[in-house]
Amino acid sequence: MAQCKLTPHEYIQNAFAPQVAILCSEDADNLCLKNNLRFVELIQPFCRLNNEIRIADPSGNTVPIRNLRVVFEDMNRRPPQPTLGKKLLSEVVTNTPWDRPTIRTIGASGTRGALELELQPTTRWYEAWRDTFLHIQYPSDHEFTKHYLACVLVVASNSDSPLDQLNRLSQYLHQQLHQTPSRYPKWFSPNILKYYLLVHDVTVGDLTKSEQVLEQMSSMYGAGNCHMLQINSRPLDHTDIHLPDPWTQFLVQRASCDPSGGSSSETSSGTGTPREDVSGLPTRVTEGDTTDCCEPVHPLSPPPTTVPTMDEKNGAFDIMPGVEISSDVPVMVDRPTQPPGTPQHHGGCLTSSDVDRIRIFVHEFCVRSLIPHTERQIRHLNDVVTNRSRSKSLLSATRRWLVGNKSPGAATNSVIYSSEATELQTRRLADLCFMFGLYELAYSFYHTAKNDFKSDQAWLYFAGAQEMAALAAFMHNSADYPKRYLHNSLHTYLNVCKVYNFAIRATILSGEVLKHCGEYGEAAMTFIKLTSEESDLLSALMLEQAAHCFIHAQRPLPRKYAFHMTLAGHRYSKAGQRAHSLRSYKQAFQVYASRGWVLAEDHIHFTLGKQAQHLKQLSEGLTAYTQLVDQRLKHEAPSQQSPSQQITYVREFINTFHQYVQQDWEPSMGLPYLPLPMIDSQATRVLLGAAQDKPTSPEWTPASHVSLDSPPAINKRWFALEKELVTGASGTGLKTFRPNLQLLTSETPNTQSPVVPSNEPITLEVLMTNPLAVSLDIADVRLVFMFEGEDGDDSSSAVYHSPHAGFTLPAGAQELVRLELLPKLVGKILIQGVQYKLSLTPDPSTGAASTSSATAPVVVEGQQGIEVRGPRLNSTTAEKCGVVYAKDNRLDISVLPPLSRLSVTFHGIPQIMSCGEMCSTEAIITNVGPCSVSKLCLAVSDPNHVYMETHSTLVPEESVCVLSDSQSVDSRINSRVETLTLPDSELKPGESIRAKLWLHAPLAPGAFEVELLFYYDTSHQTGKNKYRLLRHHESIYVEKSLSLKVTSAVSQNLETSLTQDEKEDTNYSYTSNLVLEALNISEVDSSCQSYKVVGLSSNSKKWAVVPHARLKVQELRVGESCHMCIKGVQHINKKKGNMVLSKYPFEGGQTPGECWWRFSLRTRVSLRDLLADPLPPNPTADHIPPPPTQAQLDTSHITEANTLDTVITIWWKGERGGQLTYGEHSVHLQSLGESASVPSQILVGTAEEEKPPIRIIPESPTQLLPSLIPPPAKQRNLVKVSAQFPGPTQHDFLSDKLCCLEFVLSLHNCTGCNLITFLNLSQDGLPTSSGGGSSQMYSPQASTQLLYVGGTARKVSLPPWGNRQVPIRALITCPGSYSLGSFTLTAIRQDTGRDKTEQPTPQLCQIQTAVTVMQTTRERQTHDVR
Amino acid sequence: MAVPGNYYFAIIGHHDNPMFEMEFAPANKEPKKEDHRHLNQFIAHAALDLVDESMWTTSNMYLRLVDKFNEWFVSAFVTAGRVRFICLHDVKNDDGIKNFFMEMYETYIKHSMNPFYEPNSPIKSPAFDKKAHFYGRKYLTG
Repeated sequence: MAQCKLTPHEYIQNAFAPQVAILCSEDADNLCLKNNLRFVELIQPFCRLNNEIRIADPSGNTVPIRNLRVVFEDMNRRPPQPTLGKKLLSEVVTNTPWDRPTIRTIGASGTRGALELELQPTTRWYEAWRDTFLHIQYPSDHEFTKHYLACVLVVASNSDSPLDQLNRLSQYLHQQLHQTPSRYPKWFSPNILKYYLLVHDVTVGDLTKSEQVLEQMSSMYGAGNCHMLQINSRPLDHTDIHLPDPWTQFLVQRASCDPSGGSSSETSSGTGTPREDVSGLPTRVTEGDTTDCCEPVHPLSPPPTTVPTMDEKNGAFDIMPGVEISSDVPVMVDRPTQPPGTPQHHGGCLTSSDVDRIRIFVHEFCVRSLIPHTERQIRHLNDVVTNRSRSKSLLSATRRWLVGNKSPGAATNSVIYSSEATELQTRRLADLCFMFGLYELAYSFYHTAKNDFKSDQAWLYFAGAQEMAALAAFMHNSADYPKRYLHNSLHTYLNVCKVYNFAIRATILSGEVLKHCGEYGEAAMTFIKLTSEESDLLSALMLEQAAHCFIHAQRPLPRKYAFHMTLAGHRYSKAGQRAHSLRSYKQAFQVYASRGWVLAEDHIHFTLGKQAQHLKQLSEGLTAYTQLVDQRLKHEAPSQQSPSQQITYVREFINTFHQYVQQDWEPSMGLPYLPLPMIDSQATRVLLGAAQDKPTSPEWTPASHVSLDSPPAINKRWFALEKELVTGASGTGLKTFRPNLQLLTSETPNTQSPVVPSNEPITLEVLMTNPLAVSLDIADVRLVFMFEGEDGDDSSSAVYHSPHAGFTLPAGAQELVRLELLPKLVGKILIQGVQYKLSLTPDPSTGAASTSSATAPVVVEGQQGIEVRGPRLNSTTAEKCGVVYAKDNRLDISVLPPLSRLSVTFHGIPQIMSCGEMCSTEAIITNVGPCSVSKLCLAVSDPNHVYMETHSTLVPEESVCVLSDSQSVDSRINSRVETLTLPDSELKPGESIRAKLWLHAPLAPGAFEVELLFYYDTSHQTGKNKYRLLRHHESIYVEKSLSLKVTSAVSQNLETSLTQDEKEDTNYSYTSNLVLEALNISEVDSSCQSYKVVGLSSNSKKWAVVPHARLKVQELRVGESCHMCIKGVQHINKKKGNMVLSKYPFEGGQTPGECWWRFSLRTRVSLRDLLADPLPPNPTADHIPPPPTQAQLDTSHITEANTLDTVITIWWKGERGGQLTYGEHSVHLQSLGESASVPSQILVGTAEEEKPPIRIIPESPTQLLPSLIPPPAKQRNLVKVSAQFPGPTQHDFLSDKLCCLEFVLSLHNCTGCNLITFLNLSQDGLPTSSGGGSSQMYSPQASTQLLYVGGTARKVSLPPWGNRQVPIRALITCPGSYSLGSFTLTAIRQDTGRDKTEQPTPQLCQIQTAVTVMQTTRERQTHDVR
Repeated sequence: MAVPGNYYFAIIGHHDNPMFEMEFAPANKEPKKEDHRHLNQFIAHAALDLVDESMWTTSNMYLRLVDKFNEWFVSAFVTAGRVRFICLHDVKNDDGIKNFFMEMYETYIKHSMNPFYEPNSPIKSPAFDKKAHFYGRKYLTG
């Protein structure tokens, strides 16, 4: 609704203003035309009386009338034809400007439902439309408000005989008044007021002569009805235009109302003369020829043949000779032919006194003549009505009784009243009262008339009277508005009489009234009722008004508002009112925006775009289309449109974009932004530096380095490696480590600007996604970047830029676009985005059909920014509360001076290996950069299996050798980094070194990841980025080969040690038995299935292996296994760092290559996991540890006695594809009695330590300081026992029944602590089966015939590494072979009494020795079985 | 109970945002043309004003007919959490729509109890779709 300029009262008063006809002579009009105005136009601005005048009602009471407005109309004016009328209305709406919308908050502000809407404060186009609408209505017979109440006859004083002219005009008027049948113009009554006006031109005419004429007129027509108007006091050429121009506003309206004949090309007048007011002012010819026609000729119909002649001679066809009436023709001749709407000054000859005279004239006319005339008329009509009403009412009452109360709608109106019928007189009286402000009186008369018409079933008359009655009641007392009257009349107009114009008028008026009363919903419904299919403009206006009603209601209904605005916009667009349509849709969209009503939004955007494009508001149209195709914001609700619809959208978007760029875009601002296709900024990857060069020979492969094609690298591992490298290379710990990045993705830490040396390329990979179901063509993709040189120059030649030719992006597809920059100078490059050309992919089906006429798809060029951001931060409170992202500098690249660059190539790294296989490849490291390298390091993620050497180290040939400290360094490596020595300590540009890369496949099958990271620097280069990196990653498939299980057993044997320079503290060397089991576990489809075990070796601090017997090469097929038994002998080894390396090639076998021993040594290395957190610094690392306590010393002694710490390696040989392969399997045994196997999952069923039962509640509280002493199970081998017994003896049992055998048990302490040993020879001391059933491997005794005598339970204390001989006696009674049986031995540390937790472990000793005793006649013999 | 006709069902969240939309057409007829799908949204959205008004006039969740536009009737249902169910229909089918609403209410509640479903966000569950389809066939189009 918005606010109207006028209050409803003013508006209704205006709408029903008294009508006065003007009949003007041609001379008078010509006189006025000096001012560019016709007479009617001249007085138009002054027809409202500003002062209050009074009118008397029939009873004589005077009633004041404020602001009476009188409408002066040319008598010959005719309302336009319906079609023309429509055009007029449409133009009015088009041409009325509108105000800026204001912002209003709908709903309680601050709440969820609050909406900020831009609303139209006024709807001036609607007001203009309704004024015009009322203006062009035909007067009807059932009401008299549009009928002329009076006629002003105007003549000019300077014409030949003004009186004659007046006379002729009077006659013409008389003829018009009394013509039958009555036609236009309509007269209020036959007895109208006639008023005579003499217009006097001050500059031309003679005033005295004019006054004489006026006197004559007064005598003829009465002094009260005559007036002289003096105008044109100012000379014509005097162009002082400072006076206000009150006519403009009226004429603007008029110009828009009156379609110019010249502008409508359809007018086939044939003369080319512009004809204005074709319909508003019919020509005389039309008038005369079509006397029986009550309507003017259609302006667009072919004009009568006489029309053209008008120009030749004015008035030639005047059928009323002597009567010169004003016609449009001279007007047209004199009036400058200007297009309507151009500013044009009016009233150029009028002074302010002239204007005052016009005002006086209007006032005089109203007060002196019109009001008295009206009063007379009212009295007269009142008399007529009251006199006849009584007789009439009886008749009507009877009829009402007879007919019954019929509802309207039963039949259409068929009643025709004569013009003098009482009912019509009542209505006439009521209209007169209404027009002059006697509303109370008018209401009573309307009411009477209404009832009369109803009883006559004259529905049109009834509806009219009812409508006016309602309005009269409202005007009288605005609180009392009979709504039902209005509804009834509206219903009758619409449904019974089908007179839409009156329905529209009733709606316009009642809408105002209802809004005034606050009945917004009611008003909206009234407006909506009028919408129909027929008139789009009307519907649009009505819907818009209804929408405004909804939003201004007590409780605003914003969604209804939006819907009706949308509907209004739709109808506006159908009515051709594009600007209004655009405005309505825009205002409606505010309610729908970003709520997810995608289809509705798409509809609105599409319409907005279309309308804006037609209105040449390209930027606005582009915005709307952008919204349509832009899917970035719609991830919640993607486009639901069909592909064909999307094609339309995209096509329109591209076309608009194209136009926009051509017309409105400033090229200096760069390229405009395109919303398609979507660019995933975060997925952007930046690759710095050149790729590895392709080697010349195909057998060589370059290092993989980093590339955009390779699968995503596990950056964490590489960074950890790099950290180790940098730490190792610099030799000091780094406070903050920041990896040197070559490939930047969203995963890498990009807080620092990446660096690239000049003359090395920067490759950017951009991910483009097509979110639509439409195929798009992208061409000529380039990077948008800024280069800032070090010394401020940003010459374009500094960066060489290679564009991407383009591609087709099918529906829903993704494309990775790679773009390369090559900086030539030192500086900074900031990449801002990409620019490209976008077009729709031409449809192949249509393209093939019309290749010649195929219009090339419109191509637009635009750019899109790439904005990257780091990961979300979550460390500080502010970051946790808010959403803060780290800075990402991957697009902000620093260009450094040239640096050295390495290229590494490898010769044939195998793709497949067997577990444990060893191989070597050649590698060439070349410096291809312009600077030399002074330091080269290499980090290997898995040094146990990979190493690189520049010079090979050979191993001594002896079967058992002691490796010196430097030779055995492989067993002690603690870092993944090794430095590769450079010749002349520098690698100059172009130089290269050769190296050997050794690989030892791990023993677990699967992927073998070889990760090599080269580190190199540039000589004489300082700065923050001192080093560069080169990666190589190789994934080798490893298949199953052999499994190896080694079990060590304790031997009680004591042997002399192998070294010659023994003595000192050790007299004996201990031996150990090792049982090896090799099993071929390769798969049936493995590339290598048969393996030969060709030898074995060991390395340890003091153990060496010696075979028991000659071993031969064993061939193992799939599933086959072999067992070997070898002896481990202690090898005395003085120096701490030395290693004992023993090797034993089998008969017919050889060593597997020269590097086997290094891997064998490396087996014992176990590095901390690459990704493990660094160890916390050891707080005790600095100070000297306290001297070890006795317990600690003992512990180390006990542990040492059990330690084996030996790596047993078997060598094998296989064959793959005709090539011999060598490999080795190594097992690291930690302690005696233990067994180990590789691959480790084979380890099942081996003797495990007994596991204690699981206790949920611990039996004893856990000790805070766990005992350092190894568990009892580890203490079994503390003491070795051997027996020294006599050989076979002879005894004469016949003479002596008892034979006493004496021999010696030798106890040897293997540890460095004082031990107390309890020896129990009696059978009671043996653990019973209930004690440790499973450990009882041997039968308790071999023979019961043998009886130990003497001290069977001894306590023997043993010094460290000491020996003690214990003499033992046994008695036998008869000859035979006797097993010496077993006995228990318990060893405990001497000072263990203080430690209650330590329990001695019984050690079961088996002396599997038999003693043979024979009769003296025979030989004695001993057999040692061991 | 089902009356063949065209139906459009929408669940509308607290910010007037559509959370779920579905159209039902009689089984024997082919679905309506796509050109007018946006009109459903317009009508449903406009009806929210009247739903918001009429939900205070009754204690029932089912509000019956709340609005009418051209050939479309608009029935509404407001859940305890003030989520609005709107049904556009061009035939009268009071009982069917009521039952449909009740079933959908239950389905919706079950769906909203999913801890991974964020309230007021579009419902994208295929199971929900299937249920809605099923009840639509059962109570609306037949």
